[in-house]
Amino acid sequence: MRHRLALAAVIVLVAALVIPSGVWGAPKSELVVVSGMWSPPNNFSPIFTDSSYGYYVVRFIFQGLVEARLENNQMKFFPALAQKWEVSSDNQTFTFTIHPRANWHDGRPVTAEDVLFTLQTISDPRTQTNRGAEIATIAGLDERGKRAPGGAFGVRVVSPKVVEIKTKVPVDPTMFLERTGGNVYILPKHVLGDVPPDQLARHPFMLNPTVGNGPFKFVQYKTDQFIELVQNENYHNGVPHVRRVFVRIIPPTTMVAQLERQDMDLSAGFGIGEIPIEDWDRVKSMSHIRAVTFPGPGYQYMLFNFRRPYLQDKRVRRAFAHAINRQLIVNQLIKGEATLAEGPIPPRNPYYNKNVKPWPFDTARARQLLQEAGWDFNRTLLLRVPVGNTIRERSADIIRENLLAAGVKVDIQKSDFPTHIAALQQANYDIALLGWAGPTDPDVSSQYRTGGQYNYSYHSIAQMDQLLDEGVKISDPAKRRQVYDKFQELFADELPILVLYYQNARNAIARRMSNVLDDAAGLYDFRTYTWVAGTQ
Amino acid sequence: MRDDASARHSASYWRLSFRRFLRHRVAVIGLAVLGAVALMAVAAPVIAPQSPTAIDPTAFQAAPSRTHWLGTDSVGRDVLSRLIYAARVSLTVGLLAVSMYVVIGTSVGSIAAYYGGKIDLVLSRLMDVMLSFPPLIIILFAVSVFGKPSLWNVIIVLGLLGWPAVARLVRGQILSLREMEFVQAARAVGASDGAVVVRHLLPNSLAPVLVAATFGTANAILVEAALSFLGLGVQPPTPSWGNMLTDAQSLTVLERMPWLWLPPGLMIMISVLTINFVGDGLRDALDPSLKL
Repeated sequence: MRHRLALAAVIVLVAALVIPSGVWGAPKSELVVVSGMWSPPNNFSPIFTDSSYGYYVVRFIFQGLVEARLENNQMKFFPALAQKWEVSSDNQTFTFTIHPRANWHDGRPVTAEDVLFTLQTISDPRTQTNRGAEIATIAGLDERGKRAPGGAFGVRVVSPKVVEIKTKVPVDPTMFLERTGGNVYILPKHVLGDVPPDQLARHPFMLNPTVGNGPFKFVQYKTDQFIELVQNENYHNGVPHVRRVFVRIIPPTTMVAQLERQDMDLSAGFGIGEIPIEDWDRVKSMSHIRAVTFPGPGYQYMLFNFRRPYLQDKRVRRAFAHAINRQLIVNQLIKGEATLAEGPIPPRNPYYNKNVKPWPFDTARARQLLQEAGWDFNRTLLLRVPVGNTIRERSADIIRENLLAAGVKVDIQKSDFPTHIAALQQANYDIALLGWAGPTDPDVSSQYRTGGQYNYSYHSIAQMDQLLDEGVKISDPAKRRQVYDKFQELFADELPILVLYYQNARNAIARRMSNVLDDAAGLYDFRTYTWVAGTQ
Repeated sequence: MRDDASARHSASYWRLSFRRFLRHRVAVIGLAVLGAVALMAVAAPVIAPQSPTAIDPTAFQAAPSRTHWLGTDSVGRDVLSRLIYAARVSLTVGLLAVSMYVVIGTSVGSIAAYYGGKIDLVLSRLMDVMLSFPPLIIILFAVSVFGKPSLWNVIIVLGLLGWPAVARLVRGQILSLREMEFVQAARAVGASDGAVVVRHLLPNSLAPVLVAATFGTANAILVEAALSFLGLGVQPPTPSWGNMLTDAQSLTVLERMPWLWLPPGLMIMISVLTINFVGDGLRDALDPSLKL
């Protein structure tokens, strides 16, 4: 008898030790979703995380005033923190009313003061941020979005839940709402208000953002392994149906195995978690996975260094466009999952000019153009290629062979990404490969205007500058369209860079989840929190 | 008279060693296979069925067929032709890098041992320091610092970093040799330092160096493959067994397209293995008491 009692006691004790307490506490049918992305973020700063990886996570936890979404080539806006917004008839004053029940994760209300604080912080010259360009149209700020001396700051708190933002000049409301309304994530003033702006980037909050305002709350980040998020039961736009989200760091090569073992439910999406092209057919054949592909905003391109006199003749650049078999790259290397276009405005963008067609593959024509331009056929060009994107690395081999066939000798030089960017910044190359995410707004001045921050071709085309400057100043979309149509025609004629292809995004979404938008952004899109899904 | 006698002595020594080597079956087979690989490298333009850089627009990652005996790679190039040309890279790296560090290592080792004292102390500590670095990390660092990864940079880096092992070997040999009577005798008759080292000490310490060089060649081939695999070695489109293996970073390729990675993998294995066999044979033949 005593022995039995002792045995029972031991069993209970052991069970209590072995079974973690959480197992009984958690609801049995908890909906858990695992999203896979390639690399870990360095921090979760809503205004200064290092990359798309960071912003992918930030967008679960923090929101902007509105949610921008491209539907059928049209930009549409939905309430996020703001319940409603008004645009003045002169397209220069924007008034946002914050949702009455919009609260921080610690229960304090989100107020107009938080919006003011966020915009003040971003525009403070001491703050490290990459959101400056998003707010640069606001009155009182310079073109980098920093406070200019003199001039009143255009942000005003009207009432605790109403904020008014004035721009320098009339702007296209779509552009303003997307950039300032959608891409600026609001910071909690009651947590960060006393932190000096120059220390914000290193503040512990940026690694442990427990006070957010979005549909999910931050739980923990296991370095280089996963980020755990849990639903915000008080979210003002409706509680997400998914209880927990794990964003796991999964290198591209192992994604297919994770999907096969059902250890991963979806890929994080464009540029940060996509299915490698080699594995695409295999993922398509998995019965429990929906493999979706759609035109992405990103394009790969070849830069011409305009500091080299021999690349300044546009006939030479057009010869390259004819010489490179871009269709072959798309068909064979990318298995058809890409689109050709001759400009930096993506085919899925409402401002895309359909009448501009890519130059066809024609080696003879390329050779003829080179001869006309007096090309020195003994010259060897240095083609710089960054490592990392295997498709891009392979395309370099095809480009080299194609150019050789047209009479242009090429040496390939591969390097890691930081070295590559440094070489571009020092104009230390002849031709180079790079990728870019095309904008939803057609303004591409930072890349293609004379002296633009990312103008790594170092070209200066007066007419192009004129059109770009005109484009940002017009607030009427129809008139803007005409300007950007002309811009795209000019671009195809001048070819300051050569667009190689617009790659389709390739995502995997587990079939047990329904109502997920193809680009998987649906995870944090409030309208799709209606998933009916199996449990895990 | 004396020269003549020593020549006859050394000739018989080499003949004896050769006979011992022939008795080592595996080493002989290894040498034959290695010879075949070397021949393949030299005669690459003649035997390769196609250009190693030409792209077949109709066949990307195509399985082996009559037009492409070993299939095509991810950009539609003939795998067999690339495999054959790649032998040039591997053997060039192996031979040149090792010759380079054997020359450096032998000079440093003999200087340290012959002069002894402070010179030996400094040089020996330098060897210790260099031997304590993790080799691949240092090589990665050096190749990227050199700016342009290329075949020649890989050779130079390997050559500059590999010498301490050889130097140590030579130093050890010479330290014991220099106390021998024939060396004392040479000094007694007034031979200069250089003459003693070059005519008496070095020839007698050649055997272990030769063996070490053989093993070193195999290692250099491996390191080149690793560097090229990482994209820091031979630059495209020049084929190397290492950069051919970069295709094998996808699970689908690993499981379903063995022609992309099996041939270069096998070639690396075969060449490294045969060189090591030859090294084994050489060691046994030259000095049965030697432990390397």
